[in-house]
Amino acid sequence: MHTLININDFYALQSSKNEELASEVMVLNDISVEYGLTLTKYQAAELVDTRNNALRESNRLETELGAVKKIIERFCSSSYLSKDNYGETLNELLELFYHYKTELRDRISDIELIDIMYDLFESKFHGSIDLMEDGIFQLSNKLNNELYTEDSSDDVEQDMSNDDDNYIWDDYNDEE
Amino acid sequence: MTKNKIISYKQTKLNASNIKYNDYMRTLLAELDRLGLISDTQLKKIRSDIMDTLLEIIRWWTDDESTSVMTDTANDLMMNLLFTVDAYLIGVGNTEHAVETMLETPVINLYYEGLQRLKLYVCEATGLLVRVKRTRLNIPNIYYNETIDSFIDLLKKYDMKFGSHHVPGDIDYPLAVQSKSLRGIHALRGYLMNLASENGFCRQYESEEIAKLYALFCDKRKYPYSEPRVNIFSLVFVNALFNEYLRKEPGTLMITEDECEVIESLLESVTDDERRTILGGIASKMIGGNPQYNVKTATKIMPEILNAIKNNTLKNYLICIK
Repeated sequence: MHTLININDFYALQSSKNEELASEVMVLNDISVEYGLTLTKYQAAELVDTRNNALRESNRLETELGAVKKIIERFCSSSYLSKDNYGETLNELLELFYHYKTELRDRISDIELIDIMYDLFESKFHGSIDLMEDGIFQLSNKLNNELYTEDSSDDVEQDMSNDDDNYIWDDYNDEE
Repeated sequence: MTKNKIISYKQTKLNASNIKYNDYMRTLLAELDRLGLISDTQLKKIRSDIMDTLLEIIRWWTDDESTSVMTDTANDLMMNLLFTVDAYLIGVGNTEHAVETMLETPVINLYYEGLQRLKLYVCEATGLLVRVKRTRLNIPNIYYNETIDSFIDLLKKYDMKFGSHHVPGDIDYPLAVQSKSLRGIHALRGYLMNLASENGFCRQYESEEIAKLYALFCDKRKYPYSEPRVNIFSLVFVNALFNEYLRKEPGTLMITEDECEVIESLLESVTDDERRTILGGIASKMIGGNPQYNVKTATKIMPEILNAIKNNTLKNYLICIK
């Protein structure tokens, strides 16, 4: 690709908008404050850094602060989050989110993945990020294997007509 | 863009060899940058503008299901964006006008204009396909016929919004001269233009004459009539070329083995360069189809012809009757 215009311009552009993005994160305190959770300016800036690095490491590019916003909206009501672990947990969740979006090759929507993560975190692994990561890892392997098998079958069109949404949840419920 | 800048780039000669039509905007920008005819601020603005437009396209692509995409996907959508913008810039007339347009118009508008241009190209390609169908040769070759019959599916599947730079499928029938650098709708249009030209050339000969030539070719190589993956125009062209050389009656395609020997003996005493000049000269005067395409075809097959003359195997190379 010609060096004058390439996809790396995007990352440069993102870095120049870090302050703006951190301010947007601070606005999300309006949602989480209801549960006694807020981020400091420093934590908001740190979350933006984590996001930018996680995007790079997961070979992704994001159009807006979407994932941060969706994760905060979903997780701020968690009974396992407190003032003390809120910032750190958000950083970890964000890293996991981008990693598994790529691992799952964008086959599931943001909301679907966040719902799975939330349910594992809240109901199955009682606030343990490490255990939750193992759970998503297993689910992701299973889903990828099954989708790979489907892709390779002769009856691809029929198989792909399955509702992915139900499909993922069936897997998850089976494991429970 | 300031007036001074416009004047200065008009007075400074852009090096045409640095500007590639298959990567127009980027090579144009690079050339302006090389000559110092674009300021850092202007360049930065265009790059930022491209990224903003790319983000907008990614939003459409994800359909609000996801706010992020894999870098490979983003790269592909970027190629799509640049291809579409290029389609517009190339169409504005000349390089000077393209530079002015590029520097004065927001990228998102260039993209929308590009989409309009692509729509026109698809319409044009559909018209060319009609021409190809109308001039279709009555030959039972499966590659030739299926390519023509299924081409409409390629045009229907062509995704100008997200995959404008891709050809949405394979084209099985080989042309005499294949263009490897064309992408997207340009490749589809280019293919149809050349196929129309090939058909146009062949149609000046009797349908029975072409069918007979094709059958002889298949018999000689023991191919079932439907199966050889061969360019029919090339078979017709090369026999037509030597008929012209022998100054036979126009419209004749058949060559006898005796005539092959005459050709070999006539061309035996001259050098390869002279053979190339003689046969190239005849090719350039051949009518039917597109004369430029005919010359390109002659240039492409010339090494095979020269080789056949040198090795006295013209009888095998041409399609001859006893």
